[in-house]
Amino acid sequence: MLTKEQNDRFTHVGPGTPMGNLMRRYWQPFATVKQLEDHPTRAVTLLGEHLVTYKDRSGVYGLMQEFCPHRNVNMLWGIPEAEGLRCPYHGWQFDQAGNCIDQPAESPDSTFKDRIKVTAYPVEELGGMLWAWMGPEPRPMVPRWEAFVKEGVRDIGWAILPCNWLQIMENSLDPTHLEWLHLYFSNYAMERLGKTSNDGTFWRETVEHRKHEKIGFDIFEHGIIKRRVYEGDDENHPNWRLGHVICFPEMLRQDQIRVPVDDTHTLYIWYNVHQKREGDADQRPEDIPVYQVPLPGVDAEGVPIWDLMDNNSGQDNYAWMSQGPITPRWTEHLGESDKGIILYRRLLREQMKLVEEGKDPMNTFRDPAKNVSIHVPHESDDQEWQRGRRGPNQADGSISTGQSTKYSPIAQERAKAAGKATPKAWREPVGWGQIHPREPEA
Amino acid sequence: MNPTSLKSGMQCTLADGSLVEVRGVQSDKVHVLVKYLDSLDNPKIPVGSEHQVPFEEIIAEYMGAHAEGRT
Repeated sequence: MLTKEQNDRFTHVGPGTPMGNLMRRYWQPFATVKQLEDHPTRAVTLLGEHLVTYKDRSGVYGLMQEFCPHRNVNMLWGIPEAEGLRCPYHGWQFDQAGNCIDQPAESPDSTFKDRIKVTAYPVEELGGMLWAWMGPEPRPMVPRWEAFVKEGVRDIGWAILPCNWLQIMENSLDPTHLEWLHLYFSNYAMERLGKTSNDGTFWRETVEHRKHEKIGFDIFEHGIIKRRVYEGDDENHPNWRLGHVICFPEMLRQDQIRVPVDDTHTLYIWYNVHQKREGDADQRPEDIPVYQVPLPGVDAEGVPIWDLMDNNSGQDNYAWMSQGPITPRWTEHLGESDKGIILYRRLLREQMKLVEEGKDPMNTFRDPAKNVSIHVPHESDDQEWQRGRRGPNQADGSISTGQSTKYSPIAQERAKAAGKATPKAWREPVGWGQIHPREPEA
Repeated sequence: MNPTSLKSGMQCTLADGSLVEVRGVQSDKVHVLVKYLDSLDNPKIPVGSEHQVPFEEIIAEYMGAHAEGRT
C-alpha cells in the first residue's frame, strides 16, 4: 500500500504538484474540432485549471483562463473576433498568447492594456481533437500516434468520469480483471438482464470463463507492453508475443485516452477509426462526429442499473467510479498479480524525477522525422489474429457486442444500413454507485 | 509470493513499489529483514535503512524493466 503522501503525489495534478508537472510535459486533448464548430466557445477544466476554449473568426483556436481580469466575467460568453476573444461585459479583447489587445473604454493613449496578460495556452489540432500545451517552452510536437493520422472514418466518444485518472490507468496494467470483470461478472450482468444467450440483438453473448496462466510486463520506449497467456494458449500467441500497449502516460493503445480534468475527474476519450469503405466520403476534422458514452450507476432507490453493464466500458467505468473520487491506496492490499500496477507506478515516479531534473520525459517528440506516424506493437499486427477479431461492426454489419463502440454513430449507421439492431434508449442513472463516496482528503 | 523462495541478497519490490534487498528471513516466519534501495520518496524510510516488513508486503523478485509471473 502507499502512504497518503505517496498517493497524493501520484494523483494530484494541479499546478506545481509533481504529477501536475509531469502531465504538463504532454499535449493534452481537451475538446474536438466538431465541438467548437458547433459552439465557438466551450468551458474546459484541464489539470485542475478552469479555462475557456474558443475558435476565433480567423479559424484560430485559443485556450485562456475562465475569467476576464477586468471584472471577473466568465469568458464562456465571450465574442470570437478576427483575432482572439472579446469579453462581453466591457469589450476587453485577448489574443491567443493571452495579451490584452483592446480596452475600448480606456482613453486612446492609455497603455493600461499593455500591462494586462491572462493565462493562455497554445492549442493544436490533430486527428479531429484539440490539444493543449500547458508546460514550459520550448514545447515539443504533438505526437502523431498512428491512430490519429492513418486512413479511416473516425468518430470520438467521450465521458467525464467522477474519479481520479490514476485508478483508470492502473486498470490497464491489471490483466486479470478481464477474466473476472469482463467475463465472470459480465456473464452475471447478462443473467440480470435476462440475456443468457446471443439472441441476435447487439447484446454480448455469454462467454466462457478463461483463466490467465501467466502475465508479463515490459517497459519499452513508448510505455509498457502488457502480456498474458490464457489457459490453453502458449507464449507464441499474439497476446504474449506482441501484447497490449499502454502509451505513456495516459493512453491504452491509442484508442482510449484518460485525460486528468482535475484530481477527482477524468475526461475519457474513445477514439475510433473505422475501416474506410468504398463510397465513404473523405472526412474533414469538423465532420468527425462526437458522441457521449453513458455512465452506469444506480437509480433513485440505489439499485444498480444493469442496462449499461453489458459492455466492457460500462463494467470498467463502474469499477473505477466505485473506487471513489481518489481511491485511498493506503487501504489497498496488492498481490503478485498486481505487479504491473507497481511497475507503472515506478515508471511514473521515474518520469516525475526526470522532469524535476529538467529533462524531457518519455514520449517527448522534438524530431519531425520521428514523428510522422508512430506505430506501437500490438496483437492486431498479427493478421491472422486480427481476422478473428471484431471492429466496431462485424462482417455482416451488426454492431459488435461488449464494447462501448455500440454507442458510436458510425457503427450504428452501418448497422442500420445492414438492417441490424441498434441499442435502445437507456435509463439515466441518478448516481455513480459511489454509495458512500470516500472523500479525497479522508 | 512464497516466503520459502526468498534468499538473502535477493532484490524485491514491495507492495508500495519500493525496491529492497532481502537481508534475512526472520525465525517468526512472518517478517523479513530488508534494506531499502528505493523507498519511493517515503521520507520516513531513508534509502539504505533496514526494516522488518511482513512477508505479504513482498510482491515479487525485482526484474528491472520487466515483470512477469504465473497467476
